[in-house]
Amino acid sequence: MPLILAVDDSPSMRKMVSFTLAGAGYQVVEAVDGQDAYEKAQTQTFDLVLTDQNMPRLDGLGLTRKLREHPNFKTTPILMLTTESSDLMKQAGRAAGATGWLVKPFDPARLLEVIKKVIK
Amino acid sequence: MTEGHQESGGGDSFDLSQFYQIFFEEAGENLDLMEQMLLNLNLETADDEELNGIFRCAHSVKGGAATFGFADVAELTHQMESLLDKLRRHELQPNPMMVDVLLESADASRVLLARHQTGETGEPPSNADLVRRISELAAGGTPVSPVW
Repeated sequence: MPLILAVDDSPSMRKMVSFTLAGAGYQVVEAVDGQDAYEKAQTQTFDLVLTDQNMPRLDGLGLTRKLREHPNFKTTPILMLTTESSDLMKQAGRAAGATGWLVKPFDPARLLEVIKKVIK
Repeated sequence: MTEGHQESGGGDSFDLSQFYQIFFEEAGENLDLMEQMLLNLNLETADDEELNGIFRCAHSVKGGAATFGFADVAELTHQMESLLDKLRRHELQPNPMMVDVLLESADASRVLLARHQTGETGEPPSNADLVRRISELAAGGTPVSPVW
């Protein structure tokens, strides 16, 4: 069963994402911000990372950059799930190494469709 | 609840209202935190961390409100977020008028959220004047408050 790291500082968003992913058969580990996610990534590998952008301590782009430097996460799909929708931010996401960019409001069907496409 | 927002997930539809309570609590905490940070803000020495923190509070409430279909809260907090985004990017210098309008907006957001939480019906309070004042400040202008 694929394991997904879901990163969001919003408890309601984390619950909704976990609920959606668990309902589709994925195992989920939650992280409350980028720093928490990065610490979890030191001791565990994941099949996919799904992260918000605006978070305290370490944001989604910062997390993506740090994960891409980590040998275990060179090719792991990293999806951004954020209210940020500007082309500039998306370009920054691509440059940081993100695999895809999904814009909130949250659409569970679309999220599952994209995950299915990128997960190994 | 007056508004239910259904989302379809994996072919099965699920009711977002099961997450409303978590959102209401989280939004209340974010608005309280934002208010506290605004009240403690030194306009001369405000640093990136403080401005980013205040921005994130508005941003988080907006994101949740949009997701759960509370359009009035999403619209008001979106305006707040736009002003705060310019402050954190140092495109504008914070001033007392901005702090006042943001505090007023936080109160107005609480009122709107409480209406959704209790399922209150009837005409919602208009925040058109508040929205106009925030946008004028975000555009670098000085809004004139209406005199009645």
